[in-house]
Amino acid sequence: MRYAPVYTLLLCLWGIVGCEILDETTRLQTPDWQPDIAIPLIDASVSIEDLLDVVDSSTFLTFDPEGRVGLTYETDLITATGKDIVVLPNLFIPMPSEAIAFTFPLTSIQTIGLAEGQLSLAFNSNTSEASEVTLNIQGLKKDGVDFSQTFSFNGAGAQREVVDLRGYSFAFANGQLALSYEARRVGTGASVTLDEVVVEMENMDYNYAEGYFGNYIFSLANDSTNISTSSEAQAARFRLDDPQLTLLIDNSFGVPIRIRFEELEFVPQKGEGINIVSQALQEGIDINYPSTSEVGEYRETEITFDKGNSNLADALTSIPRALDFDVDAVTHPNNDPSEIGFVTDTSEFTIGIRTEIPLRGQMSGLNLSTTRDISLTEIDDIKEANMRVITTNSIPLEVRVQIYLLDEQENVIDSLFAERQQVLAGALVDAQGDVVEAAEEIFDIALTPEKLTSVFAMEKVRMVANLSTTNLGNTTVQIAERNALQIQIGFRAKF
Amino acid sequence: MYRQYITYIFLGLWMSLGGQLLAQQEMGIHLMPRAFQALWTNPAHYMPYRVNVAFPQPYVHAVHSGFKYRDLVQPVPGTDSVRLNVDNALQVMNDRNLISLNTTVEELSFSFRILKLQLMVGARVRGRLSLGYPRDLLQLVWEGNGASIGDTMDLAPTFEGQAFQEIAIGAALPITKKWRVGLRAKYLAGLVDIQTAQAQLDFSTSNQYYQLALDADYEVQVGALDFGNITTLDSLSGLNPSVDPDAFARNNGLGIDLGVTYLPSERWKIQASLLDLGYIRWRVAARSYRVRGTLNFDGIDPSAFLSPDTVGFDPATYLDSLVQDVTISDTVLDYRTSLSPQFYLSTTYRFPFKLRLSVMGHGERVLDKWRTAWGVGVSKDLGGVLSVGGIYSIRNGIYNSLGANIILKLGPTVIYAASDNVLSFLLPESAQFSSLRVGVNLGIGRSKKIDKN
Repeated sequence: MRYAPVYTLLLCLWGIVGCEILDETTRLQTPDWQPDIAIPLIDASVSIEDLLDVVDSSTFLTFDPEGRVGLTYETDLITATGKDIVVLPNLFIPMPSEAIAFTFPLTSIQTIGLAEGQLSLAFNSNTSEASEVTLNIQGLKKDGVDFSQTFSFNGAGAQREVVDLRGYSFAFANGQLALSYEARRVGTGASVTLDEVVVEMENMDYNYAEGYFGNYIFSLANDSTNISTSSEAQAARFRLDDPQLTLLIDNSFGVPIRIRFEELEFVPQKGEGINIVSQALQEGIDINYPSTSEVGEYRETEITFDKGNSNLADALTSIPRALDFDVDAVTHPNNDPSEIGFVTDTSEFTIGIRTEIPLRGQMSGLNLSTTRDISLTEIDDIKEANMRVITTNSIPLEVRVQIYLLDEQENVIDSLFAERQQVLAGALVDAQGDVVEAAEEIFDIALTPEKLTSVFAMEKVRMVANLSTTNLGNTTVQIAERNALQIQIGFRAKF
Repeated sequence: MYRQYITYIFLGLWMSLGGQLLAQQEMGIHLMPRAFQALWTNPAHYMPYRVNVAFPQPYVHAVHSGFKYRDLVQPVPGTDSVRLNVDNALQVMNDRNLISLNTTVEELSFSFRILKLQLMVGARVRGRLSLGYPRDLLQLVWEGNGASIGDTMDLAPTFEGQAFQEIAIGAALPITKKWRVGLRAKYLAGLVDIQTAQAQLDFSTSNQYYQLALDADYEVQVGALDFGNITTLDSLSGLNPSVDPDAFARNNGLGIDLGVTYLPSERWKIQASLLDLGYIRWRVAARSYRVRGTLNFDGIDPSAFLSPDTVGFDPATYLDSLVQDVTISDTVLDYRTSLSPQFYLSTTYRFPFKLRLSVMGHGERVLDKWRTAWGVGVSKDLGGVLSVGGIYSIRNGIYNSLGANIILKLGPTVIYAASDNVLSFLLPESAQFSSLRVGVNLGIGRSKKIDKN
């Protein structure tokens, strides 16, 4: 028992120490947590289709059986109708005698089907008895029967009768109409003399015409069609191996027509374009047409320009912004009256183009630049960071990038890289330009404390990119369906 | 001969210094022959009293091998504040560290001696919970994975928790004048068991562009603790474990303790014992839950959710896609767990004036590894009433473990208290383990001859 005080003392000491530890926890400073965290951010694979996802309803990618990629642009340039090829005049035909011959103004037209029109017969009568007049016109038929109409009238004075010509057609013999009339009293059948007899045909419109129409010149467009969004992109050197431009013409006119291009020119993103020169364009293009037994049908004409028959490869020296064209067309270009054709009220022809650009060639010095507003909230805790970027590229395209950090007035306050950084190495290609091996590029974006200060201070960012095909554009390359780009980005931050 | 014994002991002591983890080595009680609880450490131990009764009493032993309080919480020079120095704590940690809580509640035990045969009967509830955690896990939380790019980090915690009722009957018998042997048979009734049967959670950060991967093969076995079916990650939420009432009757097993005491002379006593050889068979609510697979995060593909065909980024769907290669299996088991075998090895020399000097070792198999501890103890009987003692032990490279014990005999009443590390009460900020045992026994019929030893 004499040791009991010792144990009591030890127990008290234990209590004191325990209380001290509990008290310490109230004076505990917030620990300085400085983790170093590394995580992968992005692991993305982008196919060539995704990359070229610039298509609209007119532009699309094509793949040949070997998977080679082409960019095809297809659109209608012009649609022309033939309403104006034949314009029917109003006819005023006085009949000083009971029978006359009238020469139709469109002498080379053989047949005209009327969709609209009115015929009127006007005369003066000097009898007050009930009478009839019969008008006959040979060459104006309905259902194969010549026009013959009888009109009744009472009393003397001026008379006027009107007939709807819808459904009638002119079928000329030697380009002439034979008109005659005969007037008699109803009761006695005695002949009646009429004065100032006039036949008029007005407001005529046709739905079918056949014959020789002469040199009708279609009033077509001097116009431009957009191909791609306008940008500042302009390659210093751009050479496509074998671009093709195809004119596609659908025609339902039954007459010979020749298309003539005064201008056909791809407009580059910058500067002047080069007019496409080809013998076919210079001489004009005679388009196919349906025969008189093929009324209502369309005939296609397709003519392709390539490096063999034109200067297209030279004219297409950049990704075009637009296609300018000035085109007209003329009927019966050979002036041969024996060329009998037809037009209908629905006849038309459409000139379309299809530009096929096999993505095979060389390009260098394509500079892209874009400026965007961006403001990052400062994350005080990050003291230093690093972005690891890995690109695995099986596209024969190499890209160098610089990113400038700008203030509000777009003054450069810093840049992300010391010098322009190659972010994509071009895939290796064989002698035929086909990709044989993907290229990998690994680089770090070091965000030092000083760089982070600039990053958090920036108000805008400008990205400048320089693109070229493999080997700085000095090697012909072929883009293929299997080409893809894999981007992997990791982020490491020290807090 | 004695020199040889001592050589063996110190050779073992030297070898044990390479051990990295701690167990629940209770050492001081082994060197307290007047306490009934010494009998639990060696069934061949002869109690100095003819009749002994141990009343209900607790024992608690807590260990943390990772770091000391003062390794983590340190004063800020020039101020009265303290700060967490996690870097320092990580530095002093081992690759794998152990938090362990070992408790025993002695319900009622007694022994008596008839002629030279000592018989004992006892009942106690034993429980242990060991949690092993890797330094990498805390390092990942505190330092991030930046410093471990290109390496594999071990994130798998291991744990072993078990509670069981033990009913023992034992006997000690001298077979010669110098040799006494002891045997104790134990009926075991399992109360609950949970342990990691497989623990692999390898986390790696690639040095390519920091892709993350978690390679998992993690299996937890439970007995008498019903978690229900777990076959998907979703089923992990809302777990409501329950203890099966049939467990006590049906999750049972057997165990034995063996001991020997050698008395080469009146002054020397050498003891050796091998304890807890046995098993418990878990049949009620016994299941295995295993997660296997590799979870890779290589970054997000923006096109997957920026596509016009998709509504937007759905984190839940994305996470589901990440874990699609991970499988969870749930298997009904009927399994056995071995007890954690222990050994005690000690030699005691009695000097004049009832002063005893002992050297001892203890080993226990925990989490599939033998954990050893070695110590030197001294005790003195102050008459027939009071005994005091102390023990210095070395375990897991910890050299500042100083234990103390006291036994007070008031008539038949034996009151005792023992701790293998009293410094944990006086300087808790520098302690990595603590233990305490207090209790009241009855001891009737003292044998001076036996008590002398």
